[in-house]
Amino acid sequence: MKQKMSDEMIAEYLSSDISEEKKRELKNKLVSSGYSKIELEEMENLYSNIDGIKVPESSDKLGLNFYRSLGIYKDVHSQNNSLIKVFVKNIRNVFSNKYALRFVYSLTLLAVGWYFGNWSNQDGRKLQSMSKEIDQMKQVLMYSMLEQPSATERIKAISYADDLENADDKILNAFLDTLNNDPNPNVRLTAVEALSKYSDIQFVRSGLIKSISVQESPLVQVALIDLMLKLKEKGSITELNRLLQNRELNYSVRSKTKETIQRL
Amino acid sequence: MNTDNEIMMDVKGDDFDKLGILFERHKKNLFGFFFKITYDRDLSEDLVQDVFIRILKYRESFGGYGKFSTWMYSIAHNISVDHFRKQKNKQEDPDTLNSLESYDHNHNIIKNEELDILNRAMLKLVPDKREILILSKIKGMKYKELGGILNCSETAVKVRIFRALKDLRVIYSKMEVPANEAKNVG
Repeated sequence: MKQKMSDEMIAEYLSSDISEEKKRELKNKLVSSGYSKIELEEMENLYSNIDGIKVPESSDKLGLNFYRSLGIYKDVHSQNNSLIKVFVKNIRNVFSNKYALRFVYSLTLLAVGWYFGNWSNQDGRKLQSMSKEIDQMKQVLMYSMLEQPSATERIKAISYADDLENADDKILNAFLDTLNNDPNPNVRLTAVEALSKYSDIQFVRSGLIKSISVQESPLVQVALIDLMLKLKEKGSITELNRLLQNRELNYSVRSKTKETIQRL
Repeated sequence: MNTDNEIMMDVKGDDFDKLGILFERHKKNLFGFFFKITYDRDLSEDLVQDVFIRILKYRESFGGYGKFSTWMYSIAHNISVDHFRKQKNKQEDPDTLNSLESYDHNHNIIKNEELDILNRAMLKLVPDKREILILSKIKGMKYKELGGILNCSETAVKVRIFRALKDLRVIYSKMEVPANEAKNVG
């Protein structure tokens, strides 16, 4: 308890919000409770030096990306809004109708049934087409992000695939290309994760198998080996054996590969 | 000039262009915050971007009673926590490992040895401790406000700052000794 109070007191002593007088008072209290003046000064210096950590200028990309995202957000929001307006307008039409008012109890169910039937046919189609447009927009964004020099940006691009309703062959090929050629192992790992969701597609599955012996990072190798085991993919045994021929193969990966071959 | 809160209330009312004003006002400080905890320029830019995307997404939750900056840094804190959680599950990014070196060589920003050791010591500190030290140094940031951001009491904030600084001092001292020895040999 006493220790906690001293800890608090030091943080208070370091705060720039207190007066000089209060600072002196706290310093005396801390010194009388066992802290040395040197220790306190060292802490104060260190804390104050944090202000000196230099920050480079951000690049123009920061503003460009922000305004681009804001634009996309506004477009998507206005499209969503116009759909909501159509919905509200139709509801109002139904309930301002004299018949609907006169026979409201008997017709409510019918009107609601009619509305949803109509809505699901017409606005449902609009919704589908809008959702398709958003997917297309995301795809364009994703391709451009996959070309970015920043690994984080490329990981983000692959993560966009989770939001897509359906990734088409072009995207899946782009991911396979990333898996085999991206210089950053974290990006390749994210590609394995994304592609594993589409492993029931034949060309994706064979692409994943072929990639095993191409990989050099133990993390990516292990992710692919685990995936093969999960998929019970016997077709991967040849590639796994090829991996074992690599003399520089990591010891743990080697044992894991042998174990996986046996289990398959 | 409209206050941040007034502008944010406009954004909440779907006047999205006003977010640009808040972005221009806060981008530098937010970028500085993320850079000091990640030492990675590209990543910091991405994280600033994420903050503004979340501001849009969660605009309805802005009540307008507290300071906008407190709310904004709460979002920044959550993004930082998410980022380091993801990092923990992955191999340390070579971009991050090399960041300090490239930052050192390319930008020629680190001017003195003391600051150089401090930068390296900060990178060795666990992310949440590094974060609380950086947050507490934001101009005008009170401990009470910091408690609001980190969802803990003012007392807990003080204790956490002290502990982070204590750890930093230990790491710093260990790094300082070899640096001095090398200087003596040289």
